[in-house]
Order: sequence, then structure tokens, then C-alpha cells
Amino acid sequence: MLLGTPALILMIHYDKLAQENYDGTFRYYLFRTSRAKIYWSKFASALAEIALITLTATLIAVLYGHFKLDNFDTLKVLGYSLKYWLAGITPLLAFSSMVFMFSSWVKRPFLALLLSAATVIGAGVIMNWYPWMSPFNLDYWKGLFVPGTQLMLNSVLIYLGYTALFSTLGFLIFKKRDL
Amino acid sequence: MTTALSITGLKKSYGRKVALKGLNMKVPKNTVYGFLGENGAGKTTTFSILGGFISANAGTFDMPGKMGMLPQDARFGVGRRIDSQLKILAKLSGVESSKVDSEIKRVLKAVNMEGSAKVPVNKCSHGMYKRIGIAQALLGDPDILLFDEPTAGLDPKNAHDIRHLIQTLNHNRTVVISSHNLAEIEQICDHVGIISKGEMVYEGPVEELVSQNTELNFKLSEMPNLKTIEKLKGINKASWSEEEKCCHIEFNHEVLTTEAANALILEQLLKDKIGVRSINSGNSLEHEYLKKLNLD
Repeated sequence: MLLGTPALILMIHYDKLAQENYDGTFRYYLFRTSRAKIYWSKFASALAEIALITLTATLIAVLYGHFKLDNFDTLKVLGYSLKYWLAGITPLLAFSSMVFMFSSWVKRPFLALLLSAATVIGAGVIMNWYPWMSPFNLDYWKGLFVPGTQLMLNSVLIYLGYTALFSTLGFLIFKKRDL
Repeated sequence: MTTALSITGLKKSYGRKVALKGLNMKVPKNTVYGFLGENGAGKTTTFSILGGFISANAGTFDMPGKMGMLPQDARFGVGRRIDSQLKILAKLSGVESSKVDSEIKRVLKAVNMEGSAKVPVNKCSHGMYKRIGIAQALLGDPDILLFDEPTAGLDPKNAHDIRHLIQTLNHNRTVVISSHNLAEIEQICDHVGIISKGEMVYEGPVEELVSQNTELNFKLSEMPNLKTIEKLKGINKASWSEEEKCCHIEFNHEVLTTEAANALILEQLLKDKIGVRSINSGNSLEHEYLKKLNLD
């Protein structure tokens, strides 16, 4: 789920802001409301989309018995599943924020797609030399699946940090740029 | 004079290209104001700053009251119905949820599109699209409306309908229109602002502009003889266009009023039995516009 979903996120989010800017649909909103409202409501809806997609996938996995927890009752299984889902979603939020940032930066949607893909590749390269810098560091991902440990907490915090960084940068770009 | 929009020292550059060089503009309240200028003069840049699409490098503007706008190059989302598009925009305009439906009916009625609420926007003709653009600008009953080239690209019938619609909109409301169509501006606006290379070169009532240099144009049914021409020249400085059988007389209205000049010329023409096909007084806005921009 975690490896396949980033590609899906890329396809869903790359045009979220860039396409509206390119088409000119923003112009009917901008004189009515603030850029902050436009940006954060679109950002929230994008994250909600991701949360729903991954929640659906997690529940399907539970229903089809991918989590073999023989000594637990259904509620406990669901509880664990939700905990994994909440932890597992954090890197996806970070990834969404990054794609969203590029979508707020460029006017042509295709460029946002290219920049996001290039960043993923770039981050992969960085990971070879400075693993701690890359949001795609697999150690962080692994940490998410060791529930109740400091490793998991660290991983969640790192991804939430990246989410805050990318979304704030995206907002500052969106607020300042000519549309 | 109460102003609906006041702009002071507005500047904007795109890289090295200067679009606005310190624009000053005052739009009187409850008027229809024509914003004129050549391509690239800075009209759309001004509207874009007012609409919040771009930011100015310097200067301020004051626009008390609610604004509605028909921006240039704005598009509605593809595939959505007109009423669902307007619903979102009405909510963003601050219309209460319980009043959204009636507000949509009101604005669609204002643009004569009551029966088209369920039509997807991408199925609309260019004329309908402009009307929806005007309808969305009316949502929330704004105090000032900014229309960026509202009749651009429309056929004569649709352009006429939009002009007529705009004329009905300025009851207790200010309307600012940017256009290249000078005849249109002369017909529907009572004030004009002429912008050139990012600066305002004239601002004031249309009437004042077109009567600055008073002229009378007599189109005659035949060419008068030289004797008559001499007599007319005695009334005032007259020039003749033999091809157009047109007598063009320019005079100083401080010495001779339009009515007096008209009476004297007509008397002379009747005496010499020269038929008159038409009389036009004053300059056209086009003539004055070209003069202001030093293009005549």
C-alpha cells in the first residue's frame, strides 16, 4: 500500500492548483475570498482524499484477513488496523504536501508532475549520502510499523514535520505569486 | 464627488516590462465608467490588481463596498451545470445558504437565462458564456462591477444584448468597463478614463470630452456653388469634402454657440436651396480618443 500509493497521490494531486491556475477558474474565486482560504481548503480536501483512499485499502485488507491476529477479537483487530493506518498515512501526507507545493508553484500542471517526479528521484539520490535528509528514507517508513516504540514516534514526527514544511512553503508561494 | 473606486500611484512591472507607471484613477459613484486604452496600455493589469490576481509593486487603491467582476480569460469548470457553478460562487460571495437558490434565479433572470440553469457550462455558446460571466458578477448584489472587455469576440446581436444589459445594471451601482469599442463606450458610459503606456491621460465625463472642440458636420445632398461656400466660410472656418458632399465646420463655442452656428449655416443653405441629409454636432469619442493618444 505504502509503495503504490505515492504514484496514485502524484496522479491525483499534481493538478490540484496548477490546473485551476492554467484554466483561469481561480479568477472567479480570488476576488471573493482570500488566498489562504482557497489554499488550505484545497489542501484539506486533498489530504482527506488520501486519508479515505488509504482507510478504504486498510479496511479491505482487514476484511480479507491480511492481519493474522488469532487471539484478538474483531474490535481489537480494527483498533490495531486503524493505528497502523494512522501511522502509515503520515509519509503519504508528507508526499501529498510536496506535490501540492509544486502544484502551487507552476502554472502548467504537467510541470508540477515533472517536478514532483524529479524530486522523488533527487530524494532517492540524496538518500545514498544523507539518509536523514530524505523524506523517502526507508528507515522512517519501517519505524512506522513498530507500534508503541520511540522509533515509530520519531518516524511520525519526521513525516509530520515534512508535511508542515512543504505545506507552509506551498502556501507562501501561492500567497505571493501572480495568478 | 463621492468615489466608488480611487487608485493612487499604482505601479506594476513584469520583469523589465513596465505595465503601470503610477496610475491614478477616480471612478465617481453610480456612474458607468469606460476604461479605454490600446492593447498593452495596462487596463487588464489594473483589473487584475483590483481582483487580487496579481500584486502591485507600489500604489494603493480604495474600493469601499462589495465588488463583482467579469475577469478577462476566466473560465468555469468544465462539465458542471450553470447553477452548480453559481452555487459555489454565491457561497463564496457571502450569500446565506438559505438564499442561494433565489439569488441564482435572480442573477440568471437578470441576464435572460432563467431557463438555462441546468445546462452544463461547456455546452454554452460564447454569448451565453459571457452572460453567465456577468451573472456570476452580480451574485451578492455588489456595489461596483468591473467588466473587462464584456463584448469582446461577440457577434453584433449578442454584443448589443450585453450592452443593453449593462445599461440596466447601474441603478444605485457603479460599473467600470474596459473596452476597445469606442462607439460602445460612448453609447453606454457617462465617464471615461483613457490610459496610455500605464498612465492616465484623460479622465472625466464623456460629454465634456466630446464637446471640448465643438464641431458641426453637415452632409449635403449636393455640392454648393463657390458663392455659397464663400458665404459659409464667412460664418466660420469651414472645410469641404467634395467626395462625401460634407461640410465640416469647426468653431469656438465661446464665441458662437452650437445652436447659433447651426441656425446661420442652415439659413444660408436653405437660401441657396441646398438640401441637408444629416447634421452631427460635437466630436466623436473616437476622434477625441485618438487625439489624446496622439494617434490622429
